Amino acid sequence: MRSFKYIAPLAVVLLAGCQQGTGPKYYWGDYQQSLYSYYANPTAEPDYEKALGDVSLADTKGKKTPPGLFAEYGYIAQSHGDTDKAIQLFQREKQAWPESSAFMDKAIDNARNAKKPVAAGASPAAPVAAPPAAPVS
Amino acid sequence: MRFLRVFTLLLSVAGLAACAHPPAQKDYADFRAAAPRSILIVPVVNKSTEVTAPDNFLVSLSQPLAERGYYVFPVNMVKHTMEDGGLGDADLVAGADPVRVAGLFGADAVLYASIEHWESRYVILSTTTVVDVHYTLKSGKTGAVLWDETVHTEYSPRAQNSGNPLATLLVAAVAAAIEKAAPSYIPLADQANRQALNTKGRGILAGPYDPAYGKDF
Repeated sequence: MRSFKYIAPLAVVLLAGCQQGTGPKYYWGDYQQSLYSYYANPTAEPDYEKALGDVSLADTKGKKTPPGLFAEYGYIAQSHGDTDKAIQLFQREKQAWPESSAFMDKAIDNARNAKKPVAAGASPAAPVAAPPAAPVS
Repeated sequence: MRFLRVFTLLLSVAGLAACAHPPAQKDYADFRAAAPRSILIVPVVNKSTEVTAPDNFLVSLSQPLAERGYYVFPVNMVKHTMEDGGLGDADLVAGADPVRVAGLFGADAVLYASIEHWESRYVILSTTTVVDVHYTLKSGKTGAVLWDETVHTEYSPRAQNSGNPLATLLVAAVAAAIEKAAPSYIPLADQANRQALNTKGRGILAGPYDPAYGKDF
């Protein structure tokens, strides 16, 4: 029985060697499933928005909001015409993740310039339309 | 004590064998030199006839990349921004200059995924889906390939065993039929992504938000 004293820690070390990383870094909530459901059926957008709202409050639960998700939440807010909320969220994304600065600056400019609410994005479930001839430069 | 030594040795060998992976370790020189902090996931190319497959993969890629330590651009916002800019077609994006695509968002690197093969085999009591996916990470600064990997994976949803053979059979048949009619491929996509991104010595290097950044592999 004495041998267990040696073997147990060894087994832990060996198993740890196989592992990559530890627990999750971020709180994802229902983000993935709700986005997929929204893609499959555009009427599921409120659930997707709700999931983003929940994830954006991760810090109140002592957790961290994943990269990109303040921006996703802002994008949906903007598509509903809530420009102020959108800008706020784009700024939050930029503060949390400096890597997003260039994209968020553009998004904030776009939101400010939006004279009227931007229509909700084309149904993502629909087949992708043929792109215009001139690609973005 | 002799028994203990032999046992320890055997255990060590078994432990090492469990971690071993037959294919050779990748060369990470270019990846390490580029040291990307952020990854832009572009629309997934689909070479199969499974129309929902690209969305399943698009939705499932953010989490593993972020958890690996990268800033990952918001996929849905990016998708719509690209569509508005005439880059809504995955094949078109895949053929475009990565430097230009990355430049639109200020991304350090661009991740491309392509579903090469997709097949669901319905065999009485179970549906097995077989999929081949090719992943490529390109530098947003030079366009050079920093990492690429092809995975082959199989997935069968599991039916509950109720203890009653006839009921179990029925449940399995129903599960298989549902999987065939209205498949949810997220678990399959997760499995393929894990295999591609997180296999030691083959996957992607840890990003700047991971403690292993600059130290792994």
